[in-house]
Amino acid sequence: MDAENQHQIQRPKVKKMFSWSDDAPTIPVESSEQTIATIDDGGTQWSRPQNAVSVRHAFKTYGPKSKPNQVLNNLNMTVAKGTIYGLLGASGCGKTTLLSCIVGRKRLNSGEIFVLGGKPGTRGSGVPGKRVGYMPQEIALYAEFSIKETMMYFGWIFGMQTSEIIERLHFLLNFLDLPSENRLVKNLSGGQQRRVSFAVALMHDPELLILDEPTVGVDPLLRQSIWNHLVHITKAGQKTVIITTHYIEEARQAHTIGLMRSGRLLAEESPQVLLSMYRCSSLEDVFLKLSRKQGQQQQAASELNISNNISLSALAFGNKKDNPVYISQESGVIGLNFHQSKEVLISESNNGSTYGLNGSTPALPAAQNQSAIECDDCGVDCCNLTTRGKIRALLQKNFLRMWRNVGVMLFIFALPVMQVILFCLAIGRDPTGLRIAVVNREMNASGECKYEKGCSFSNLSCRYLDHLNSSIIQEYYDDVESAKMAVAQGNAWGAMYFTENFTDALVARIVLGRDADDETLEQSEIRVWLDMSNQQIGIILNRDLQYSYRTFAQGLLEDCDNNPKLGDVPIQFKEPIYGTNEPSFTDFVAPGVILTIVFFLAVALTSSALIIERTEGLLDRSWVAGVTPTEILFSHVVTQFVVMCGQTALVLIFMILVFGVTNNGDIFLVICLTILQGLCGMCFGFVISAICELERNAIQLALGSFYPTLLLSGVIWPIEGMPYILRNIAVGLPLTLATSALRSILTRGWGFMEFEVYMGFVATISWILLFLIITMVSLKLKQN
Amino acid sequence: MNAVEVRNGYKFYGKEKDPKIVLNRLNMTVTHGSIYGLLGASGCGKTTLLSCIVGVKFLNAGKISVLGGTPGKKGSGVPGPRVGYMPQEIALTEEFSIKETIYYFGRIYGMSTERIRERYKLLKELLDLPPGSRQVGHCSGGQMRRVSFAAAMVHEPELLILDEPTVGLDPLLREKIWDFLVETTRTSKLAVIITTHYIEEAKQANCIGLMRNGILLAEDSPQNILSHYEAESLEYAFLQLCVKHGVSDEVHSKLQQISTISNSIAGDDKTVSTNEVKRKNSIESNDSNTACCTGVGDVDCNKKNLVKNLQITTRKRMKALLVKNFLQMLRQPAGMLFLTCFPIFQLVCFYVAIGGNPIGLKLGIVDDELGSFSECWNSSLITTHPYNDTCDLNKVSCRFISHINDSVAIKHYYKSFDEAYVDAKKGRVMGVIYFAKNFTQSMQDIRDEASYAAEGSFENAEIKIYMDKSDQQLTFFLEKKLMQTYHEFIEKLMGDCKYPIKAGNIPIGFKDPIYGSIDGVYTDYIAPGVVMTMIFFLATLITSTIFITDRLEGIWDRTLVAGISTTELLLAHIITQSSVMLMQCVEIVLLAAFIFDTENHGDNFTVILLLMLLGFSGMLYGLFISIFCDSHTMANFMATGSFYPMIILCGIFWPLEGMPIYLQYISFLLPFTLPSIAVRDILAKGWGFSYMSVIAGYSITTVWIVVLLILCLIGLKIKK
Repeated sequence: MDAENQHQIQRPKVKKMFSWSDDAPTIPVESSEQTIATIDDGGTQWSRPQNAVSVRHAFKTYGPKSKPNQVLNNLNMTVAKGTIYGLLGASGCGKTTLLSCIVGRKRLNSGEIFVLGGKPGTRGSGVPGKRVGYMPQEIALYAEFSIKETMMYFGWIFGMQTSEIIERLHFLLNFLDLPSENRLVKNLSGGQQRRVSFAVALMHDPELLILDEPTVGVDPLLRQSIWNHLVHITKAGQKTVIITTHYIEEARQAHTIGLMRSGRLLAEESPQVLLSMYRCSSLEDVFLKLSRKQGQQQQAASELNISNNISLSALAFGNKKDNPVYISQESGVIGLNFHQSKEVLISESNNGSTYGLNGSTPALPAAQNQSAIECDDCGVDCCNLTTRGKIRALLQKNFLRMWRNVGVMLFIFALPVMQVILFCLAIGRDPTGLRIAVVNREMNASGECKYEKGCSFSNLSCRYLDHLNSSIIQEYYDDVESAKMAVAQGNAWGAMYFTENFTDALVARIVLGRDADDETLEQSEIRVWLDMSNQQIGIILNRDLQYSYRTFAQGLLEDCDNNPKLGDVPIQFKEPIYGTNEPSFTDFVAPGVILTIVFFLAVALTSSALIIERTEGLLDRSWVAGVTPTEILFSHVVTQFVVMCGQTALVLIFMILVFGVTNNGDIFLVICLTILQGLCGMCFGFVISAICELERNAIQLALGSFYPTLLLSGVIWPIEGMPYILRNIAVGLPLTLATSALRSILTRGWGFMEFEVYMGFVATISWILLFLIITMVSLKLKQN
Repeated sequence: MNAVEVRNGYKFYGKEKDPKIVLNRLNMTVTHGSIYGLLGASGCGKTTLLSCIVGVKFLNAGKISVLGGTPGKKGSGVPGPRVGYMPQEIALTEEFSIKETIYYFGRIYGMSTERIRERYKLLKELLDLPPGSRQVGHCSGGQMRRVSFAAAMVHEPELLILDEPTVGLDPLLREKIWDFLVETTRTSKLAVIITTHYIEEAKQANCIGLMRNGILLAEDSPQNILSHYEAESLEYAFLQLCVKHGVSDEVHSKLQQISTISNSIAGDDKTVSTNEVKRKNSIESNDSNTACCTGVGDVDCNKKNLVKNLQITTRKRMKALLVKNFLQMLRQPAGMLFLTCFPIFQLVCFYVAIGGNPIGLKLGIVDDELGSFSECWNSSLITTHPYNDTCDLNKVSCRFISHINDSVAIKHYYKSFDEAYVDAKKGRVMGVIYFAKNFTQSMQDIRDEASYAAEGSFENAEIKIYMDKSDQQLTFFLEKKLMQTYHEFIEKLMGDCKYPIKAGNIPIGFKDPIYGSIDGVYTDYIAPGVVMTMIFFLATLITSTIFITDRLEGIWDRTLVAGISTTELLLAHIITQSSVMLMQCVEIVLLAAFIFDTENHGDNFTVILLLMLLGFSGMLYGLFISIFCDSHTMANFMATGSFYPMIILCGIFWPLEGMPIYLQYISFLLPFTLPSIAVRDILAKGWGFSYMSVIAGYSITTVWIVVLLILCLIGLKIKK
């Protein structure tokens, strides 16, 4: 009884909010006049004004031409305006494909479809767009959104004003008994989610409402109220509803039922007619009967039995080839024609509430016309307005999704920072604490190694050892064998050996110069055995030992008032043209690391974005709402761009300011190039998600491409070290030229005009374009 | 004796304080030899109830007995061969052919091949299955459902649970399935629980339970319900019940209402049971009481048999699982390609791209000593004129220039220094080598006069090199090469002048290194690390993908209900993955050893074993990720997020000794730091198990394996 009360309270509101009611001036109403207008614009077909949807001779196949998978097989369908059309059939019978075609998501191989007087997918038809409302089978809502945000999103896409949306939202919340508008969709129960999904389809009060299994798994009460509502809105004859279900019985309340099986309509009738025609008590039985018939027919070599209703398609198929469409149509529909016209009659008289649906008389035509004209106007400038609204909606969607997802947020902003910090801390610093086993025969027994400063020639070995870099730890051994053993055991990275009269021999060597004999030379030599198994450490030790000898010799000579250069090798590396005297590995890899971090984060973020939207049915929904692939891509690009700016800022701040990676160039160029690389990564992500059907494949592709790119792009090893052919390939990769450009900017301080720098920019931009083109093409291909 | 009895079943999700009640003191009775239709909207708790019955989930309170035992207990056979379960999703491995699918489930249930063949033949006819060799992935939706149904029926279970078997089915097929069920329950003791949210089709069931918000609104035969509510259709009756029950979603706040309704149900219950008894009498000719007693005896026997069965069949089940995993892998050509070729591709990329000596670098050369460079190419040019104790030099710079060969750099000759310097500024050459005008004289002066040489001589005798040091690796390379060139040059010069060869050099002699070679290549240094990371992350990636896919598609659940324990499932996956790993390891090692000539001074076996262990821990890591991540995206983020830091920290690009000390400790704990040191030591030093670093490498890997394994098991327990 409570429910009934509520219902009564609700009714006036309901009236107010829906366009069939007389006193709702704010809500735009579309009437048949208006549709006429649009159709005249299109100017193609104007034969069946009373039909909201008509499908003629529809053929659609999937798969290769040689082995086609027939989904729609010469299907004819007529949905009269202002009726509920129940499309029934098992899953896989082609229902969803048919709906996709009606809505303009897919195209037929052959045949014609007219929706609201126009061809779906053509300009000005409004389909896909705001004239249709679509509720997919899946929930197809963004789990991270609140109810209000969801409604805002779709409202904006339909080009509605914010105030209008709010009004509508409150009405729908009440009407569908939804909880607080601030609840997140993912926290709602299944039934509530379905109701939200339904509300979204009703949002803009469309002329044609397409519901794909709205009642699956829904509570009986809710199911009842959904049907009540549908009956209600079609009453005025302006709204049309197509509803699919595989639960046949509930379709009793529809005005017309289409029974579909393996790509054809077995029958298209009102439920009452069907029941009486086949003398069955339930629609279920009717369908069963029809199915059996079709089954038998197929067995009988699919030859036609014209007297039968079912064979109309078969017959039409036979005639189809050369004859003009109309003829085959007329001849094919003999059986149905009669019923069809009857059905039309019913639907027309429907306005006068034949079905006894608590009929309030239809709205005043005059009022309707007026509002219709209003809407016509707004429809025109909607075309300009909507794009803005749509983009706004799409952007809000992208950001909210990211924002509400803690894991993603962490991934976006914490990961790059962590990577940069780890990189700067871990890579490129001079190794410290390297042990060297020293055998010094000059040392006295006490084990001390003393020498005198100034020009004194005693214990020079000790003086040399003192010059050794502080990062090298010296450990003394008694004899060469044990020192070498220590290296062999891995206790030291190298062994050094000074002979007993190293000092004397060295002095003699310097003084005598070319006249020194072999023994002197032999004795004056410091012998070194290194462990070169760790190449980086080996090289560093090698370099350090030589450098410290030079400083040692120069210091000694200077103290003795000799020219210090006497002790030096006459090969001098002068002040470098670019870079510092001791180039660091960090500076070398840093550009590559910056770019790979930004690039692959973007890939990881976007590669699954489209796929997730697709698998959850969200893409379809947005598509039907009239959003084009370009708009979706654009919104992602903008979102990603903002994210990229944040990431770039973080990465660069940490790299350059905190860890002091050398930057001699224009910081603006650095930022530009980094952001461009991020965009490039994003576009690569798009390519992946446009090509891959499954999320896991996308992930494998994204992760799989990471290592090869890292290796081949000259990030950790100069591409000059690659074989010639590979080098050419490497140059073609998106990261290679950009890395060397960034390196040039950072260390050489080059400006944009230098060849290497602008090549980096050119390469990046052309990769972005290439990726975008590939994405667009494959999205287009998928749509058809 | 009832097939299933639920008494006061209570279950909630979420926290204890703020529970989300799914089953609210629910009572349910399913008798043998009947079809029980469990109806209700989605989200009303149907699936949870079934999971509890099947023993995959457990109640928070209340009792369930299934076929005389408590599900999930040892010896109850539930989950196991006594129940058949057909989940809502298709939950079949798409890569299987139909025959393989049936055989797979048959094996899991421990049936003999003979018996499976029989059943398969029977089911194939009954359900009109397509030819056995067709792959499930290529079947139509209806066919897949039939296969799924057959898979639940192979082993003739005592209790068959069908979760929405008829959703979206063709009417003909739906009729067939119902006919089949009615027929089987009439002739055997099979109990069937079938859920649907489409109420009307349940008319053919013997008993219907209408479920809403975690309680049964009614449990009765369809006829009784119809007459009780004076309804034409069940649909309408259910609607009435719902109206009575109230619209609200929050049930627990309306305890009053529930009690009233359950009272009415209690009234109904009697009618049900009497009804059932009547039915039973006609079938089994013994009344329900005796049936109960014999039922108990049956169960005891059954238990013993089952325990026996279980022991014997473990091997068969293992076989089934293994066959499944392998087929799943083999039938995915893209996946196979990825598995086999990706390591090769990566390795080739690595070896070819990294560590080679840079070639084609350009050096500018300016020689003021010469009028033109053609003087150098004059073959009659003699640079040394040795006499008794002295040696006159002539245009020695030519000697140096000729010592720089193309493998070091390509020489570009410039007339003036400024010209060369500008080119270097523009990046056209990597550096400029400059010889002063009286280079040779100055050299000679220094040689002869040593410390008494003129001040200018020292300046002029220098070979001045101006380098573009913006690229550290290239700089290192060039510096090294130029120093070597100088050494060669001066030794040759000394030799030609009949001086001691060493006299021109600084007195540091680098002897043959103890390990490695003086001209060590970068590749050898980072190869071990790269190979390890590759193996580790391939394993991680593949494992996490497979597990998450399995779970998302419902295959996991189905297998669990078939009585496979989580441990068995893990074991099977581990075995499959390990063999893949072995293949990859061998592939990589062969490639590295034979094609790319990586030297191995140690024991091949030690290396491969360590790689295998590492791959194994990578696999466990993937498992770990897949347990805690519900979606591919999350897993992807986890894997990528951990991948980069590990690579940076594990010391493959830069020696650990260069890190701050605390970071070194952290990095020692990571899974490939110590192992890659170990592999490097084995390869380059030929060390074996007696050395610390090798032992450390092995032990850290083992520790990781153990820790990950424990975490996985804990995670699985918690998730349950």
